[in-house]
Amino acid sequence: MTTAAAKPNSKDKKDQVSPAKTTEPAIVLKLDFYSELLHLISLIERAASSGTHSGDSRLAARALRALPAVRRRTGTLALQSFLNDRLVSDSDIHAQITSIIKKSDPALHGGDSVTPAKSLQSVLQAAAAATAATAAGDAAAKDKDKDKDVEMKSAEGPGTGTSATTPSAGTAPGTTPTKDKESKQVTHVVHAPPHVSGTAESSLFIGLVALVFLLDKNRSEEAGWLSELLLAKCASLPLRSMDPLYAKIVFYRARALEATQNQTSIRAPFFSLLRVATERHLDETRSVCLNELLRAFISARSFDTAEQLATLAASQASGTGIASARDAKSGTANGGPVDLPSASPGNSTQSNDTPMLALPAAASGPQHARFHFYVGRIRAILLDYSDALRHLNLAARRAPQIQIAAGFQQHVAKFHVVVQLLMGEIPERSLFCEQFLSRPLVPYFQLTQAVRTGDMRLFRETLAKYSHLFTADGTMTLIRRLHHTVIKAGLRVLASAYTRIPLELVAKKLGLVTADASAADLAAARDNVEAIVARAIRDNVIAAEIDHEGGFLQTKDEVNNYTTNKTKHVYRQRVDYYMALYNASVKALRFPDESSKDTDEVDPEKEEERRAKDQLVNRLSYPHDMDTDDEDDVLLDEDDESDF
Amino acid sequence: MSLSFKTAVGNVVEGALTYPFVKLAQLKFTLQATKDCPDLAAAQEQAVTELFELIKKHDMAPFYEAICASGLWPKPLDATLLAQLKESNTAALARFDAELETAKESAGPSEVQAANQKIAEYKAFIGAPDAAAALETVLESTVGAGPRLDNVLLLARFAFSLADNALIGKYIDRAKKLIDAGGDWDRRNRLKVYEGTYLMSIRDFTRASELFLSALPTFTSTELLQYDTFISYSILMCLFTLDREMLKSKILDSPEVLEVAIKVAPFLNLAESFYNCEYRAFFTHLAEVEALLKKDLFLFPHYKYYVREMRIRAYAQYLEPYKSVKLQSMADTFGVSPTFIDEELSRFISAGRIHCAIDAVSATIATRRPDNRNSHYRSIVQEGDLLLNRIQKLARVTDL
Repeated sequence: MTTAAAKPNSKDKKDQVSPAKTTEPAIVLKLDFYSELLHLISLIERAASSGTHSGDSRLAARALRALPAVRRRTGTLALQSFLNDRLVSDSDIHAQITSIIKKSDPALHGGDSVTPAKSLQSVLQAAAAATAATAAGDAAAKDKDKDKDVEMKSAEGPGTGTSATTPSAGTAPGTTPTKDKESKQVTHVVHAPPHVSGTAESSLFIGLVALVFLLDKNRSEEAGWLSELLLAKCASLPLRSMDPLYAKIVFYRARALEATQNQTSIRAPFFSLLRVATERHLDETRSVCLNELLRAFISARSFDTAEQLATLAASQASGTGIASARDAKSGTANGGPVDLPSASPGNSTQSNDTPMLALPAAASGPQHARFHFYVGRIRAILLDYSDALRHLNLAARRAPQIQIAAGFQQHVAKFHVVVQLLMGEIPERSLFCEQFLSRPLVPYFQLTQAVRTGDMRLFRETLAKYSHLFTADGTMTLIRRLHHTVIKAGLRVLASAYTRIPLELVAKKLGLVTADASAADLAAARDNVEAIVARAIRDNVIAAEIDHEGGFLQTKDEVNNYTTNKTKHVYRQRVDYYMALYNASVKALRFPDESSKDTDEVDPEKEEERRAKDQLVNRLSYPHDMDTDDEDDVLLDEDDESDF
Repeated sequence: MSLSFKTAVGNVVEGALTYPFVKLAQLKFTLQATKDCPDLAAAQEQAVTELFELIKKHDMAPFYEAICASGLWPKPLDATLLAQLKESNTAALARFDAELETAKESAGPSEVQAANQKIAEYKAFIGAPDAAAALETVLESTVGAGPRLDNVLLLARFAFSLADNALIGKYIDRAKKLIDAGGDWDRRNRLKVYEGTYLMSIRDFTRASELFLSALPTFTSTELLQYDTFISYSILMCLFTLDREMLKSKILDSPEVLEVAIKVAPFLNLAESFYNCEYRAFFTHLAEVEALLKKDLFLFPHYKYYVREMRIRAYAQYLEPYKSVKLQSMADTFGVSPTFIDEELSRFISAGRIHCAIDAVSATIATRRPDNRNSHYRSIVQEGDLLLNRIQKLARVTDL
């Protein structure tokens, strides 16, 4: 590869800025930004030079945490200055960024348009000259030179990079020939600059900054090319300490692909990425790959496949995940629809053993949150509401509780509300009053009101009024299922208020017919309602009987519970449970090892679940020192089983 | 201790006890409520005029500036007037500062305190942004339980003018502590009115009615509420909480209420029609009162709740003597259509607020006794399960 990593030289970087700062106070702000970036790069390089110790990925993670702040201020000039200062040692990335700058320079200067481009450039060049004496003069002239120097290096283009490491070669050449003339530079490689001071990692980082810049400017096609290139570079640098950086690149690669409408094209390359990441123990990258795949499946509405993938991810503790990912890859290498053929029968037994889904414990909180969110969505679609609710709860808890993640929190909350409604529960009102949630949740609040009161009319109005919003949120499918819940709630309300009520009136009150319906409509509605009511009675939603002759519904009086044996049983059940819990707790105090067994004897279902969770806890605590966050989640996770 | 000074326009301001803090809040609220409502232009116009009078009377330059900036003021800012007001503000403050200096030089600590008090009060009157802080500082150095209490109540009134419930609650709590440490009878009564008003504005009607009732015979807190306003609030709160007999003896036959019967007519009519079971009239009066509540600073957030609860009370009172009653006859009594009654009742029955059941086939309503035993059973099971869940959580901690 062209990216033979140069030795890190981070100390120089910081010095470069200081003379510039003094020369031109008017652009101190820009230079501050520049020095900030340099600081980040030095972090990255320190992380890279520290070798393969996985603990040092924190340095890289720290640098990446500043990315959102950098993102807002990136402009073409900032990118240009990187080129000038030889921070981008990698020639491919260098060429790409150059082309980006060339494209946007005449029209827009990104965030830098305040100061005249020339003056800043000259200052930056002065700064660069202070340390790198060989740095050439005018940037524009240099660009022209480069254009002339462009040379075909097809043998070393990104195509080779990808084919060597990832099987996405099928897609890479597919996109390259279609590019316009100027962008040929993607496949063409500029001669490496004579003086190289940055490492391959810092090149990647700057490439990432450029990529984010492109995505922010909605230049998704270019972002696609750049991300592909970066990804290819990543694959050749298997440093574990750089895991967060790779993960970020993978993430933005997925964003770029998504923006260019290549929903399905994400699958094959990402499966192979997943494999690579798993083999090299790049936990963060692996989780990002998984999440992106889940996201792609969900947006393609192939929920069964997504579910299989999620279950595999859960059973990933051993090597099965890799194997299955490989299987999946072989199934999709030719770009056909993904169907994980061998995955489901081969691993079904195992996935049943471990119903808890989890990512590697080392993955970051946000990735966990995303994973739980996607799994929650999948489960909700597949009718497993209680599990979905649990995952959505986890997602909400693990998501960063800051302004920047407000969008995610809102999205989670929306699904949370709908799933809760589907389970027949009414979400707490306080949820709709929370700071970030109150406004976006207004449609969902109305939905809740409709379900609570069983008001079919309000339900329909809400649906009609906000259908575009629900579709955009992806909750529409679930909300359609609420129809039945609303009718049930409405019937319950009616049954409690009326001793006898004509079926026509039921139809009217439930909003099944309009108020001015014709007689024929009413008769039809009557039959319809009779069927609905009959089903509700059979399902024990209401205690009533239908008088078919009279055409009305007769509710049964509430029996005094104390005349039956029911109360006895109910109390007995609770007392038993409490005593068992008490005994178990007492024993747990004395014999910690035996305790879990004793509690489980109460309920075989619980026992099974507990065993699975114990396994998970062991897994979490064994390889890494268990961080408190995870422990918390396991606890909380169990708490959610409040079904008695 | 009260403040008296000449303003630019030449009026004499009495002092802290007559300064209309609540009226200020009410006018601000009216402006807010009538904003962007063309059909309420008259009410808005009136509020603007009154507020403008107040601003001119008290030289309220900071207040004037703030309300114009907030966009509630429908007219453009009068720059000359503002300059004039500001000038007199500066002059007055300079004069008070000079007084303070002389007091410091030639008089004792009580005179210094009085001068400080003047400055703080003046700042509160003109709506200066640092008024609360100034009042707090003065309160710190106030000597004696009575004056301290006066100052806390002044702060509470100031909070009322900001319509800041949290702040009001804070000062009332503080005042209660001071009262317990030793407060006289007059201030105790005064505090009752303050607390009642506060509780009313946070929808604690039961406690508000108790406090109002006990303050009714000895009402002196005209600095907070006008007498007839206070009586109207008392009627509303008592109507909400008292049973029929108590209502008669405490409100309808009370000389304090009858004294201002004409001024509080809508509220008194409502109470009387409720007492006399004239439900048709009751509904008409209720509609009138609803319109008034909507305009009220304290009760606006609760007007829907209040009207709904009063309807439930009326329905329950009507149904109490019957075992079963025709839907039509109930509708006639209330002067509404049977469909309306049917809808209302079915809503309240399913919410567990009225204990009866509708037979829609024969169009009758049958009352049923509240099933206490079953509801107890249900609540025991429900709350017990919650408790068990919490115990379970605790047990899991020992497990791990």
